[in-house]
Amino acid sequence: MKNKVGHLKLLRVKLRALVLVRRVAGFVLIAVGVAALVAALPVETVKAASPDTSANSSIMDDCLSCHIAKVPDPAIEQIEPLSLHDQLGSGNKACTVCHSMDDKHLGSLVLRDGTQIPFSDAPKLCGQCHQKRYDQWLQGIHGVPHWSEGIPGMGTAQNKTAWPAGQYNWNNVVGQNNTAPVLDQILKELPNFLGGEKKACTVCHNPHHPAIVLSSVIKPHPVAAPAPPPAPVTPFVVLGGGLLLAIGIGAAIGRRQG
Amino acid sequence: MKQIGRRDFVKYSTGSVALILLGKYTAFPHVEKLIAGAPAAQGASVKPKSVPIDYNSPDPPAADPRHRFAMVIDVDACVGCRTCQWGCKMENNVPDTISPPFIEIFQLENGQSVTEEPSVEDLKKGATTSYTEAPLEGHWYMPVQCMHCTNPPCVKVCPVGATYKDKDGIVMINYNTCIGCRFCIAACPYSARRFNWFKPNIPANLVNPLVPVRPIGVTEKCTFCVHRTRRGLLPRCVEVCPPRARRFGDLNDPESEVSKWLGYGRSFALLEELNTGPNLRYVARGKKWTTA
Amino acid sequence: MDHGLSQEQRALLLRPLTHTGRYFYIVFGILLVFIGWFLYAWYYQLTNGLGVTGMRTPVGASWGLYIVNFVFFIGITHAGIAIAAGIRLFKLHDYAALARIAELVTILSLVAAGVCIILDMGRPDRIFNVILTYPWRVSSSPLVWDITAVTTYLVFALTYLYIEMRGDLAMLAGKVRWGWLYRRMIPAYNPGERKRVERIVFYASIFNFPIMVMVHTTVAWIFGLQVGRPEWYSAVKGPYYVFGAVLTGVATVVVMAAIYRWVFHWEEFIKPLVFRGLGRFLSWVSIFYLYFILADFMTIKWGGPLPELKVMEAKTAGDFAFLYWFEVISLAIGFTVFLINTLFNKVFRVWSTVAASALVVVALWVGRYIIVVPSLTNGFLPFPTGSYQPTWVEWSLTVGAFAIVALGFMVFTKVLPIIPFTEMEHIAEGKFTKVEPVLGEEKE
Repeated sequence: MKNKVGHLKLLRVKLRALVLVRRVAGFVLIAVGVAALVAALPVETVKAASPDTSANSSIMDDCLSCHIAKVPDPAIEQIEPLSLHDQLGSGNKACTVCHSMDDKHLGSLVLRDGTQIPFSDAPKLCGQCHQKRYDQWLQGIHGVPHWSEGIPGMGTAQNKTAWPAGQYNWNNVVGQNNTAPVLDQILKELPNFLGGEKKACTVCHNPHHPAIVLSSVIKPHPVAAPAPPPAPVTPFVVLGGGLLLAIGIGAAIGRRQG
Repeated sequence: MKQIGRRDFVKYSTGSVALILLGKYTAFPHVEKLIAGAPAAQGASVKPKSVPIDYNSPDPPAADPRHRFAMVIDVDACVGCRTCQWGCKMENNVPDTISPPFIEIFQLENGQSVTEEPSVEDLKKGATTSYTEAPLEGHWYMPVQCMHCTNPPCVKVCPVGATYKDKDGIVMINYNTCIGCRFCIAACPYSARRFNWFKPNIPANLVNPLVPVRPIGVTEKCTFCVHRTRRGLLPRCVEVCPPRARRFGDLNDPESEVSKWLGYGRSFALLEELNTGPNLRYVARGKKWTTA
Repeated sequence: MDHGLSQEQRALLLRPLTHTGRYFYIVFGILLVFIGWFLYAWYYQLTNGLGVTGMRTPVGASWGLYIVNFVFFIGITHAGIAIAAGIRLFKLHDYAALARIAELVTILSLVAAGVCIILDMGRPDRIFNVILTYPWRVSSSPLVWDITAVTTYLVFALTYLYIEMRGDLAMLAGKVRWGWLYRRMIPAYNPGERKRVERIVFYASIFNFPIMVMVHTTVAWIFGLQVGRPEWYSAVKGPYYVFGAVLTGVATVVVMAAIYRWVFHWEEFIKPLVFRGLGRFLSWVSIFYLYFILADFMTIKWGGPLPELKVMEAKTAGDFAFLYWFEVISLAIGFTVFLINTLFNKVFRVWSTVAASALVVVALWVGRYIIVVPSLTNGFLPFPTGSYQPTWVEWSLTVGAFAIVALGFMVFTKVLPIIPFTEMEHIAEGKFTKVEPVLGEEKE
């Protein structure tokens, strides 16, 4: 009798276990099914820039694939994704607003009317939109630089380096010579008078990322006053000698008091 | 009792006055030469011959009492680039021995005032002038220079009247009268005045001939570029500011930029409660690096 | 003492004028060397500019040791004439020997103060500008008020000294080496002028007190009226400086009296009770001065505005902490010594009073430094200032200024009578024993 009861209990446990296994297997199958369905759904994914292999374009028409590449080629200059100026167009079109499509890898820019200009004339390009700033720059009252050696590492988006070490004072300053002879001429040329060489816009502003690079516009604090000359040693020797001399003479010539 | 006779009194007093005058006109020029160098050395090397700027003549032009000059600075637009500081230094022949130049720029954290420090230990976290990167997130920048106060404490304390408030509102200094006692420097709450502790030394070809090179031993400060503003130009700092954060003009003219900017809304000035009446006020127009 | 001065007493009083010992020459020579050094340092400063001082930091302490010395010397000037005036007003015969020493303290300190101000000027060659522009500036500038008060005080002190010295010069003209100079210094002398001189001196002594208060108040107002510096702008500065001046001045006179007493063996003329009396006075004044320091401290520490708190923090726990607490503790020690000497006759010693006075004088010099410099290096706006470190030029010129004062004392003592001889004679002869009404009728 005992065996039968124990046997029954055992059977019941086994039965429960089987039911459990069945249920779990069912859930697993449901999960796998749902996953398969989901995987099969057509979902929009971010497509990596890929070469546009349409008939009327060459591989050179797609700027971003090389210049913002996932696996950058060390021979190709990498840039940050455009900010602010990316509103000029979407994707590659933003690049072509400024960079000439005909001659893009030989270094020229293009104005709105299609004229090509060399990189050194970049201010004219910037001036198309930033007219007021361009006028001020022409007058010499915007971006007045004072150092002929320029600013190291300018034009790169990540540049936040400090000025090269040195004393920034009248010795580092470069300006035109004071040759204006008459007051009228001085007044006329005064905006340019202390201007020094004009530097192009890109010296201070990175057109790919205008906001960040303004930090490079900062100039170092003018140098503090020089320390005064050190205490001369010889006069102290003279002082000491004089004191001893005074004591000696006094002791020698004076009468004892009393 | 015998008294000193009238004749003797006249003799003694005239003699003393004569002695004093003799000393002034014979010995004292030598003392001046000892201190400041020979008159030729003081400024001749920086004056081109064809622009006869007489050190003692009223140059720049006389003040126009119809004006009431003021300056407004937009601290939201200021990026702390120090272009104004260098522009002022070069325009006004500020030597390297005066540091900082007339303009000093503070970097402050957002939510912090320029005179506030939470505690003595936090003094090092306060406003700083020695920043090397700007503009930084979470910070703002405030240039400070002479405020050309309506009630200037520096003018009140000068024992010889070398500094005075001119009719167009600019607080001027007569560099010939200043005796270098530095009471004005102690009296200015804005620490806006500078003293020539050393002989100034500026390369001759870089000196601006419209501005005198001050001799040793006198006080100097921002003059709102009086040599420019009385000839219809803007001060140099206003002109060269890259984000155009500064405006200068005539408060008596409702169309001037300063009147307009002050009319937009709230403005603040430093240390107003001291009743100095500063004429350099600050606004925060909310637009960073405006191009307007 | 109805018999007048004895021969030995007279000889002792005239000793400085009749005998010159070895030590005089030694000290004189040392002082000359220091003054020569002072002149060299001043020449160095004139040719190289004020940048050779520690004040040259960008916008830091534009005033330094020279102004500290100026305020210190002006602070000393009080006591001289005040003590001399007090002696004559209140007929303090025991103190009579000190009268001219005290007046000389005033005059030489005023001269030293003038020297220190000229040292501080950026353009001393333009000093005449102060006179030329005086009518237009006197209504406005505290510095001009100070110059007015100090000049008035100097003229007053010189006149006072001269008038009351005439009698002595006349009496001693035949007896001492410098008699030929005395005769030329007293034109129109009439022996009967003594009564008139006494009355002039009496009323001048009364007139002295408002002048003295205004001198120290105008110096205080150079600082106390400036809103532009935290912790300078304070109504208590006026009384603070007046009490400081009383304290410094009387302590200096104590020290000088002790020096004269020791050098010339004048113990019977400058008795211990003189020091006891002055010590008692100093105990009152020093506790008042400590009270002012406490008032200043409390007003700011309890909940002052931040710029003032910054300055007070710098003074009590920052760069200036050592100097500030040195001053306070030295004053407390001085006060304790004065008080004990006053209360307990058995413990009283002359040397302890003199030592405490000397300590008080040094502490007050440090106190002037504490007043001038911290507010300049901790202004309203946080310009970087660095710390103010006086350079060798400033120290040399400071030592030189003190040497000028010392030299003045030595020369005066050798050439002119430092003890009011005639007064001492009259006191010894008992001519002052009857009480005279304060505003007396015509006598003789």
